Amino acid sequence: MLELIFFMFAKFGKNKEHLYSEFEKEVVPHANALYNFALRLVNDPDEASDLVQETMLKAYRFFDSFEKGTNVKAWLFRILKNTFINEYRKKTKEPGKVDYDDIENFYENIKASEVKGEHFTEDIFSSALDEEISAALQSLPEDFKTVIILSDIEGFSYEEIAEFVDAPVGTVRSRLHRARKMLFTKLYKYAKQKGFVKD
Amino acid sequence: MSEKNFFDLITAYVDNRISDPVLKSQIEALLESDQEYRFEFQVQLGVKNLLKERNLRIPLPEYKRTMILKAIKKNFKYNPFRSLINLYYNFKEKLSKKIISPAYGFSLATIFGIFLIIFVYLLLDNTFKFSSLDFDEYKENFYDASNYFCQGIRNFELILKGELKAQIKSSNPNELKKFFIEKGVAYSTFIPEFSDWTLLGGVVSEFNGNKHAHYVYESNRGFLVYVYQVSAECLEKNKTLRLSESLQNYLKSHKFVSLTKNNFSILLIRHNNLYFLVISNDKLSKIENNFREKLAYGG
Repeated sequence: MLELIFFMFAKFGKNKEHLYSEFEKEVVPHANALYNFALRLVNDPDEASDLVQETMLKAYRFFDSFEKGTNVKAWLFRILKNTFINEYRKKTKEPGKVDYDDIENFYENIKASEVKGEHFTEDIFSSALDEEISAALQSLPEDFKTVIILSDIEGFSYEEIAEFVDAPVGTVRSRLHRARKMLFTKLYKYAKQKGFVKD
Repeated sequence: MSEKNFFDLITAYVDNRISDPVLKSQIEALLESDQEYRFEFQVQLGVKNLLKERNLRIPLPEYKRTMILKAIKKNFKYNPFRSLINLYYNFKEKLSKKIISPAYGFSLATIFGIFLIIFVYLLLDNTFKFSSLDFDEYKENFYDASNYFCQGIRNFELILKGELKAQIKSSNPNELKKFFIEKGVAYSTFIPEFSDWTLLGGVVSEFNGNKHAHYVYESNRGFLVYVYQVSAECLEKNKTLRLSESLQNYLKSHKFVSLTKNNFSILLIRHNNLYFLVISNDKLSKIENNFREKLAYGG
């Protein structure tokens, strides 16, 4: 009987070692992506690393129940999102609400005045500094920011994003469309301030 | 199809999500002939490429990565509850394969059931739940120099400025306890050990003829956690140090109270005839969790 108990303890220890090395191989490479997403959500490096730590601790806790061969990155992002909603969202100062109609009107004006210039959009994109893109991204409302980051930075498919945000694929597409427009509008304003485009 | 939906479809086209060849050629024709749609296409494609091409990722700092991995290793080195559950399932599996005795299975399930009840009881025991302090209700505690709270906050401010130095530097709780006795602290001190906090040292102070114990931890993230520990007798009977009666009564029934003041996280605990005033520049939740775990489950 004792032998059996010792055997099980030893086996359990061995399993844990194996689990940890699997975890290191599968999960740890996504730490940077998680940190970036966390940073965009909470906008504070310390809070972001805490959020990543909690996400990874939870991931490790449930790692033995994670179905191998499925998308580990999507799974990790879901854990991060839930941790954020449950523990961090209250504390995080959301960017001010954006009136999408304002953006739409502004965007229509740009279109009306500049639609002829072939290099107009290129000028805006090439003049944008990394900090400006980050600031523009940061200023988007959470729903739009989430979709554009997951799609254009993290490379998730529409279906994965739909599962992540718990919305139909059509909604994801529509939010992505608007998010890119909002981002473009912000970048246009920066370019205009710097004199790269004119009224 | 509405114009709005058609604009949305440009997004899908940019993301290579249009599988219907007819729709695809319709969109392409529109992009050829209509400047407005072409502009929309340029915006969508341009933003997508911009975010893809510019490396906007800020890497997780190496020290933070190391810290996270350490925390994972440390946290999951030994988890008695989880180990019990796993052990139970492993054991059950072995039993069903080798010994095959329903009686054993039933006894085992009963034993684990009892463990589980004890665990849940400890988890739900409300004497170890924290509650937030209503500042206004207890504000008298914050403006009197002979007051326990006031002294604690002032001491912590001096510690942070480096003006209050340890009389003994040690990470060994027994050494600190010995020091407190030698210096005339008349009550039995309690110095818990924490896996992520290291004891730095201690100080003995004297107020109205009573000696009091103070000790400081440093967290693995570099925050300080200061504990001002006094006997319940001193606050409740002799009243050589002040703490409002309403707060004392509150602590007698609730054991813990927490608040943040001057950007400090503060916990006041009554445990085993001792009062602990814990003040830190770390997060309140962190302080609460560590003390909850330590005082609820021993240590």
